Amino acid sequence: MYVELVPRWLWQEVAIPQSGEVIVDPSNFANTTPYPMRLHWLSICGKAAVSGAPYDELSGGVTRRFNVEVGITGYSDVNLVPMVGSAFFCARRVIQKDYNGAGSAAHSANVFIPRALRIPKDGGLVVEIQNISNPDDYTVAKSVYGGYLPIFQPSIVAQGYHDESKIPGFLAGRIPETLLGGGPQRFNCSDLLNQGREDFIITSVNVDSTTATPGYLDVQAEEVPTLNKTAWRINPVTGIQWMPQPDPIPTGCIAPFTRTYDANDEGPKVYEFPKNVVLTPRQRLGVKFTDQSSSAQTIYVCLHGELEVR
Amino acid sequence: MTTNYLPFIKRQYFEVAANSRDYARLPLFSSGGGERVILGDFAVDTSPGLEYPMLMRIGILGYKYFTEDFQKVIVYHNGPRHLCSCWRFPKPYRLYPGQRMRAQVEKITDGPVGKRDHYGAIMFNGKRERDDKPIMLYDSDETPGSGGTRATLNGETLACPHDSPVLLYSATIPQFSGGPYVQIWGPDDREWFEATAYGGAAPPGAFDNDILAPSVNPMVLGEQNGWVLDPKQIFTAEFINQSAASSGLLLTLRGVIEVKE
Repeated sequence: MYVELVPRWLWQEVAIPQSGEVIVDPSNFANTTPYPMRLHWLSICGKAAVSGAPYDELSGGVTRRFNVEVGITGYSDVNLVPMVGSAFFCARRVIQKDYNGAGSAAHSANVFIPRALRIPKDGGLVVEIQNISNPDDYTVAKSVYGGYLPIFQPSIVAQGYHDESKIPGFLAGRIPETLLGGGPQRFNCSDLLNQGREDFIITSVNVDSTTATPGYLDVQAEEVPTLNKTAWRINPVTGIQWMPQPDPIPTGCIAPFTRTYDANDEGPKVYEFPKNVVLTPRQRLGVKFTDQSSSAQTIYVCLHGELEVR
Repeated sequence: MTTNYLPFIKRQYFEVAANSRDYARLPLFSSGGGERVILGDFAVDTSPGLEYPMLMRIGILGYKYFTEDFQKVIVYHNGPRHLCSCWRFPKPYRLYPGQRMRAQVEKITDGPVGKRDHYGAIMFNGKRERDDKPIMLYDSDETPGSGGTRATLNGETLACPHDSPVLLYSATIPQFSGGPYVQIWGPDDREWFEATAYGGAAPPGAFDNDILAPSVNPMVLGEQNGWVLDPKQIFTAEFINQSAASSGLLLTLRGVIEVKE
């Protein structure tokens, strides 16, 4: 039997109450398809921390001020993995970006895909992006980005090759103006479509990211990436959707292994499931967060897996 | 007849004027011979702060560009950076008994570790083809010297052992970011690195530096993505500078040339 693996990202914004606990809405992490879903990782990202902040106060950061428990429904609510954020959410430094001078925005985020993706002859990508930051944050920052707003002409580049001729290629798109606040915006680019003659194999996907600068965005003492300022929704033109939820997913959640500067606890952090953890149809993943700080915080949680379509 | 893979790095610097469009000069990005050319990676370093308004598209001369529209330069960069100046060759280079590598590196000025920073050194990591045992070919100049002077490294420890060819996988120098000038010659005295400035532009100080590790993340090309060219095909990149300021561009293209021996 032929099995096609289709990537799937599911996510939720979670508000963790002060010194309390919350179980994420399991309907958001449910396998609503008729196919088994092989789980790869759970990623979280949030606001960057203020440098040197004490552990027991809300100061941003997502790794050290809560406990996490993860489990699959049908056994008990939460039964699989209890963990402290700082201990188990171990991010790998797959990408190490450099700082090209102060105020540099020379970062992109690598959307980590566990294997190459096939785009059929008549297929392509449908990409949406949303500015989920407060646009006011960027009015001051403009001066340090060479006069350009950080979310200036957002771009996506999917690199790969044509399946038969082995000629390299790209599926790429760019919105030719600054991305303002409000609802998601769709990329309107013919470059995101396959050329119709042969399948295209995607081996890497990169999206724009932004960089906070000292004293401008989150009042950082260090220059840190802000992977929670834009959100993306990337789907194939045909076939089963990769990101089926209506809202775009924050960059840090879909690029969890992108690391730039690790001092300020911003995340993203990742829990990697053991091999062969599968959500069968109608099963759900339960995740519980327990806050250890003295005030509430909001984080983004994202589950990545692959559907075994038969 | 056997196949060997000659590493090469092509680097060029040029300036794109404000609000204008320019392309990487083509002859430098041709391979100049061999059977096939495997492109390993490509890095584009812009003037600080101008990564956002700089757009790029990539192609092969003779084909069309791979995208009609230009995309932001930073979004192409998908490769990891090493934490020292280490370049892993896309395919190993075979050195035969009786042959020897030669290199020239620049000593840099005082650093936090003191006199050791005066030393120039290079190391090639590889394995003996006959028995698969690991081997390092290396040399260093441990004579303290002032920064900026260049040390030629051609000692016995850069020579292939007499009883087996050696497959070289990488070249490493001990500095990173602001590291020294480096040039490597193969046993046929072919220079591995070529660097050129165009258009009367003054190259930045780092023009010769970090050639083993460009100061930005590279864009991974590679045989796995189809970047295997005929020697007549030429890699090309075109840029649009949307800024009101001109921007220098430092382009680094690395790969190997397949040759028959």
